[in-house]
Amino acid sequence: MRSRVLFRSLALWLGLAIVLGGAQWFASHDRRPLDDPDLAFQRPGFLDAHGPPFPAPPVAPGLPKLGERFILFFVREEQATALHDALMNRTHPFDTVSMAIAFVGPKPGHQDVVAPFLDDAGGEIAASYRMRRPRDGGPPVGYAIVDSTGFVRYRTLDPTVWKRLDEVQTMWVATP
Amino acid sequence: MGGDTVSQPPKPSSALPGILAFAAVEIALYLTYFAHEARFHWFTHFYVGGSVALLIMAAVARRIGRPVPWPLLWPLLGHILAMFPDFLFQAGIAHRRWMDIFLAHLSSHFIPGRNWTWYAIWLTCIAIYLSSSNTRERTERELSADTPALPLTG
Repeated sequence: MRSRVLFRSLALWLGLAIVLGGAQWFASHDRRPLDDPDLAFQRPGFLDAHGPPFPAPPVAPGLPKLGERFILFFVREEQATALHDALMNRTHPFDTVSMAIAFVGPKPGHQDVVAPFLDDAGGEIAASYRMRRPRDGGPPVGYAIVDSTGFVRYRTLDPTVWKRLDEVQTMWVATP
Repeated sequence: MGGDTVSQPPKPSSALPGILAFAAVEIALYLTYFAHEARFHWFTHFYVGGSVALLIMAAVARRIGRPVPWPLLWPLLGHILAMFPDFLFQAGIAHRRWMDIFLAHLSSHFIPGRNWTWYAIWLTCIAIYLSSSNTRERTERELSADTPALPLTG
């Protein structure tokens, strides 16, 4: 009888291990081109996950401004309009946040309404903010947050950043 | 207090509702993470919480000499403990370093090999637990093998 219980126990755990292993294998292959090659670094949810803070390079006159937190979004042509619209439809706190959008591609017609659009076709801004390269090797899609002392404290790839402004806000609030 | 009473195995019929409840809760949690495009995190916390639970289960099983009751409840609780900071995150509270007290919630993601390493650790913990569950039977078998046959003369 005891052997039967142990056999059932073994079958239970073995079955669970097979299901979990299969699910993980599937998840590890079901990845998007704009994902970070190492998902541990994608949306980690805490400051300085990539290492010590470093001074934020200026991207435009007065940006970032000392004494103010600053959000720098990185998008490609495909995401520029979606992000712009999401920011337009969003009020507090993004109506008062200092931010800019570094983009790659043709300039959107509605540029500079919610935030200055910065041409980053050469990738210099992304490189200076040490943004990671997505799986497809192209320009990053995500964002970086600079604290009020001018240091980059958070940076992440996020292929659908415009859907997750709540999360951007959470990280912005957490940044001193 | 008799040993036989303590070592009574759980009734087989009690397993299925537990399995279904465990599956329902874990699938619900998985779908929540999936909706947030965070499956990677679900796996990490499942393995870490499950591994810790299995080690505790192994200690308990070794003590009582049989598999623990409600064997899937323990990993579920471990998983929920490990993912607790994510509930806070959904409430708008970003992760902080101190949240590593929740079964290494932050640093567990950065283990070399990532989730496959945690999977291997989790499998090892299952093996430890199953081995510990079997101690009393093994001991009884060894004891009976060591007992000398009664002398026939006399």
